[in-house]
Amino acid sequence: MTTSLTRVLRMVAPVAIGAAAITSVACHDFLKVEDPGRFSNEALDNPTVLAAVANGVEGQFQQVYDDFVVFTGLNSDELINSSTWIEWADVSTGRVRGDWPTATPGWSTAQDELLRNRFAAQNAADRLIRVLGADVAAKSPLMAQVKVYEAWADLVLGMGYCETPLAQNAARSPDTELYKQAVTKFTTAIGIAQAANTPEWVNFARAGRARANLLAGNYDAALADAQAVPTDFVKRALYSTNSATTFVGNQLHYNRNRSGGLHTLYWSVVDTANSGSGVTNPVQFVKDPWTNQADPRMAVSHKSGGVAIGVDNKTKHYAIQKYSDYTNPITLTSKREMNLIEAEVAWRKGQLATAIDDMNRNRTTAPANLPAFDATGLTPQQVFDRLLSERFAELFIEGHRMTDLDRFNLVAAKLGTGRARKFPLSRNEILNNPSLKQGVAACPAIS
Amino acid sequence: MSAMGHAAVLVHRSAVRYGLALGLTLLAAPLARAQTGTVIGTITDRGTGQPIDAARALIVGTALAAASDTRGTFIIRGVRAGSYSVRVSRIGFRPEVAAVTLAGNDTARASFSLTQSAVELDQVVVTGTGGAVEKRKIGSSMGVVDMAQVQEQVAVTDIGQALAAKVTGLRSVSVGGGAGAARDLRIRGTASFSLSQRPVVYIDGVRVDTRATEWTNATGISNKVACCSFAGGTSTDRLNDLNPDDIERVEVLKGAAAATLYGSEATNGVIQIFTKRGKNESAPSWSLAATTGFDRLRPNLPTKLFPLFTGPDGTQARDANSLIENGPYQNYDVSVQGGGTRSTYFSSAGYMDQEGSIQPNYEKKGNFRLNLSFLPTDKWTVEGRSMLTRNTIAEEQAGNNWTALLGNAMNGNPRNATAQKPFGEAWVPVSDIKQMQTYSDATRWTGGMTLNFTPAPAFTHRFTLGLDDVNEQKSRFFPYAGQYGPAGVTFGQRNLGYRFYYSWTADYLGQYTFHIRRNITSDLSFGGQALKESERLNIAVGNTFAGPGVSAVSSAAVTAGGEAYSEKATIGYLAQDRLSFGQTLYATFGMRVDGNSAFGDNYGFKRYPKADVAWVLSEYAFMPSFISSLKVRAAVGQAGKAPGAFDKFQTFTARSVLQGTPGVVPDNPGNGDLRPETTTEQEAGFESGFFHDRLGVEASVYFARTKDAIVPKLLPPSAGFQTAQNVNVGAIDNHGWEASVNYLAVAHGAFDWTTNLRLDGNHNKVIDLGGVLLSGTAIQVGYPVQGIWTLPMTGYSPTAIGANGRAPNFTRSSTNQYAGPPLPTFNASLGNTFRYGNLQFYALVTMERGAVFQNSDRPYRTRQGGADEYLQFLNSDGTPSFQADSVFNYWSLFDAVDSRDNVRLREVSLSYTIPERFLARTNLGRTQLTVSGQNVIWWDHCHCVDPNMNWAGGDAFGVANGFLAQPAPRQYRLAIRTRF
Repeated sequence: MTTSLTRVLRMVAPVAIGAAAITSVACHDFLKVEDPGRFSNEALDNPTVLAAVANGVEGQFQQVYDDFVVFTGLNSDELINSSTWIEWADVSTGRVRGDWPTATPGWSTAQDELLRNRFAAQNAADRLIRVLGADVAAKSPLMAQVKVYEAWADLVLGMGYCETPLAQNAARSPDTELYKQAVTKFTTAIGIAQAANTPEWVNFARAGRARANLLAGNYDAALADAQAVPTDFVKRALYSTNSATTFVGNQLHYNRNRSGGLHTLYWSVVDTANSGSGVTNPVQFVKDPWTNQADPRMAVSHKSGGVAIGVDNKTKHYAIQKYSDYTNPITLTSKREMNLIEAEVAWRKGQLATAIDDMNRNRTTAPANLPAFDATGLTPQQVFDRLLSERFAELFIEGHRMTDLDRFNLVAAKLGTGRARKFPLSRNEILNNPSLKQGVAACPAIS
Repeated sequence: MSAMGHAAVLVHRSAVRYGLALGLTLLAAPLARAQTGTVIGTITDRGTGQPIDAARALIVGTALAAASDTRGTFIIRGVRAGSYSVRVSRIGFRPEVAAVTLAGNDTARASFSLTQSAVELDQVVVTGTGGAVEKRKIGSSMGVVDMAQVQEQVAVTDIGQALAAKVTGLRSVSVGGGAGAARDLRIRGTASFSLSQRPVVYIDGVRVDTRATEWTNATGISNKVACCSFAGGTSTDRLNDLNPDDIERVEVLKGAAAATLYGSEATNGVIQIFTKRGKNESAPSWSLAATTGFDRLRPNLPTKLFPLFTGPDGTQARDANSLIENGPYQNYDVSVQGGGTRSTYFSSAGYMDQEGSIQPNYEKKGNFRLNLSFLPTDKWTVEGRSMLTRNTIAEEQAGNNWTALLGNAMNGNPRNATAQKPFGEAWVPVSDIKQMQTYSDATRWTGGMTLNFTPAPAFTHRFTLGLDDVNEQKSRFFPYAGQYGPAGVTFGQRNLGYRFYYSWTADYLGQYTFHIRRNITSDLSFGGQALKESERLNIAVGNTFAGPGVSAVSSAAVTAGGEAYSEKATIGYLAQDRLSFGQTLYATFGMRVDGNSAFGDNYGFKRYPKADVAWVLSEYAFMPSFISSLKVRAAVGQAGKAPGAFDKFQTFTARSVLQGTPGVVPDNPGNGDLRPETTTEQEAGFESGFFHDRLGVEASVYFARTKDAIVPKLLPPSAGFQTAQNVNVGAIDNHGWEASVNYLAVAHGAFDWTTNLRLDGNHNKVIDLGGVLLSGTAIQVGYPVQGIWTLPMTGYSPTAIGANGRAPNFTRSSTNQYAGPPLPTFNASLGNTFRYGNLQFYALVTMERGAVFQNSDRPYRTRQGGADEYLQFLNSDGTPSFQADSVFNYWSLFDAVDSRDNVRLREVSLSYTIPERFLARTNLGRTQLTVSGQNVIWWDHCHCVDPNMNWAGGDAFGVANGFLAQPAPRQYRLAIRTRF
């Protein structure tokens, strides 16, 4: 009996050992894993990380802005494609369509990111209220920061795209509605920023509201905001050199991949005085059309020989020297833009001399340092020509040109027929937003 | 995992590793044993009379076994007095069983004369079968590759090459050239929308690393900081770490029906590699293999017209074919095996040095292996295995990469050639790329211990514990002086990456055989498996050096870093019962139950059932005599594929924004209900032998439906999260067939002719996406996964003349059209081996049909102003003709889709076995000289360099694009194999 029992035990023992070994590891949270590289939603409900949440909103907006600048520049002939990407060539040659077959072209990715940025701002605002309480949050600099970027996201979405949902999962709305919504959001942001005693956010929101009001046709309100922005105010999209933050010069500079450069339209008006032999990478300037002087606001670089061609191996390359390295961030808005808004409002009111004075505040100061315009005898059209020219120079490759050509109804005149006035609604939004019918974007119209 | 937790794991890993080594040492100590007898046997080939080496002899019902030596002799000592059956088997021969009876201190002798067989119903296999079992008893198909036979035919460089065209349904194709580059390795099509398609690989029961894709960007580093990956789309293949000369055989489970017992990782099949073992009662037997040769690219790069052009400084453009060199190859492998009565050993050392045909590129690999086994008692067997690999690869700059070497040389414009850019390179001068240094340097230990306990012949236990530990360093250096601007590098850059991977395997399997009633036997298997897999990726980037002379990350002006970590754990239980009805009918029922760390928190354990039946009709007397073997079989089973390690979590990602300021943004919406993709496969087929098994025919049909396929459902961007939400709503069908014919056509004394034909077909279709609308065309209901779509190419002719005698302006439809599947729907291979006396000739021809791919190189080259296709139409003064403009206009609008169809002389060799009389004075054993070639020539009708190219590397999910890849080279080898 004992022998039999021993035999059975010997036979069964390994089974028990094996089962015990496997079961024991199972009992020690064997299947529990953690991702050390990301936050959970709950982990962010912590006062310590709220600043990072707000900074994330700001950083996300700034990171997407370079794509916005590049693609609007290509679509408005500030830039010419010199890449080998069909998508860039299509934008540069006006083949943007609402039924764009490619899933995620660059401009569409930019809209996706702006939409996500708006959501991130709203999500961050909700979190601030949840963690800090509604009263504290309403006076928090962090709340001011996220609210102002929520408004800026709407503003830029309106500038770049024919249609955009006004909210998460909402139906499509035209750009004019985005401007209106941006104005409302900027007003909220200004209130919070004032309560939080953060003038930098007040000014950034005011500058944004000035532009939004201008684009919405609220000229008096635009003027008031523009005038309220202090002299020397400037807000830039800073680059981060050690993370995913992009650098607009990456695509446009001779030291980088030369996928785009100054458009052919302006090659003949580049000042070549500094292009002599022995100058490896000359810094040159597009000329001011009114004085034929080099305009320092439009710095480019084109080598007269050698490999001064784009990465497509055929297009002459005029590098955008304005974005030569990480120390040259993109200007989001500034007092100098406000001066041009004041000029435009004055022009629209028929106050031509005032408009010229407003423009001259930019022309006669650094970095332009150009001769002032003389308002004497100028017609409204002549003042407008100068206004458009100044907007081109002052806001050179900063994401304004496409919107300007559209709102002044100059797309056909300046770019030719069949060119898209703005970019179509993101296909990712159309396919996944339950409020949108599957199909194509309605704008720009299919030719 | 916390830092302390990580440290604890490291200590634990080290302790276990050294514990295994200590255990092996202790096991070598002599143990007392009872008085026993000895069985001595000889094994010969019935057809030739030659002794058979490496046949396995087993005392049935015990753990006592031995392998035959080069004289065909085996000795099994320590056999207790009694009557036994001795079973002798060898791949390619019919097993034989003989009865022996011996008393204590007696010696019994037995002779075996094995017959070559084209059918192997009695071959013993172990993978996925719930223990060792003859193939006649299993109802699913399984591939088995005898590595010794492969090596005698062609000197293979890596395991992927050895498997190519050897098993129906298994695809092993070189998709990008260069020494150390990865292969596309997959079985029976594509069964997922996004998860890796590589089968899981075990070596002697231990799960091992199979990564074959780049991981730079997985660290979170921006490609603006360190462009692209270390070497482009192609990558090193960790399967290449294994020394092919260490392998005895490979078993391949092709699908869910066969691989059910492997549970949540087995949808794509399982490959198990068995390494060589020692031989009982054998004096040390040494083997030496020395191989030399070279790799050389086929000179078909489409730049042959380049030298007709000169650039602005008068430089004559160079043809990219001028970069092709002979890449020398050498490989040495020495091994020794032997053993005593109760212990065996196998030890090997190998060194390989392979240089690429485009320089700089090489792989230098050293392998050391020690396999020991020990029988402390008749009931216990202890096996220990240890492999150490050091593998250094100077990687080729290739793939979708600004510094792709051939990409720059082939995509240039010869009219822009300069002294510095003689290929008219658009991006980076080839001379500067050659100055770059790109290395993968891996140190790897793989090993484990297996305990077999046989308390009774009918009751066995096997416990395996193993570890695969991979430490890989990757580095890339851009010198200060090079013109690397397009890659975002102005004054030099250094990238340094570390990858730490480990996987633990703990596996228990018990088997109990008992008779239910007369002629009905039950083989009950039960057990469990625990797997833990972890991968940590680190990268450091230093940008902008002060000047030449430094290359460390820390010496750069701007530094950045990235890190990624993932871990996955699986725990599974299995039970299976195989009922044998006499020697004719076998029915198996089994179940695997899995928990997995990647399953959503709302999901529990997953059950995978299986059932199969095998019916050996040839055992019946009514079968015609010319049918010597016939088994019909059918199987149905499930297997799964676990989601990505952390896909279930809702997460917010931290990333540096502004200037060095931390920021957090929404990232992954997560899914608490996430569960494995589940494939149910039905398979039926037969294995048959005719004319005394000289003709073997095997065929299978299968239908596999994957449900709960994970679909990346992108949330609307307005809803914020960056990453698509993974949801189990998709379904994919794979159906196909496989057939092979193995014919021992002639076997007359000095002359043998064996021919082997393998055919297979696979059709893949997306059945359901659960209503999710995906952007792009890669995944469409009713079409293959990653099917190729393109804008229609209508009316194209390079000689078409438009209005005013100028090139026509092409217009483009906005509607994509389906062009074809990304993988072949038909594969064929025909191998023939002729042996006359000591000479053997072997050739393997393969064919692939049905697949298409995005041949992005073709339009890209033209857009760059290069490519022979465009240059041929230029006027004599180099200005574009209307035909040239036509070509240019066309390829400025369209992507190219081309066929991957090809016929390839994949392997050819001539071997000479030196007659024994010449070796008599040298003390050498069987010695063979082999001259071989691989990838020698191919025929296709695509406008490409090689239709197999794929820029994304080996186990990448996408197989649709040949962009900027480097073709696989032709390989020529001279090998000598000898024993002493």
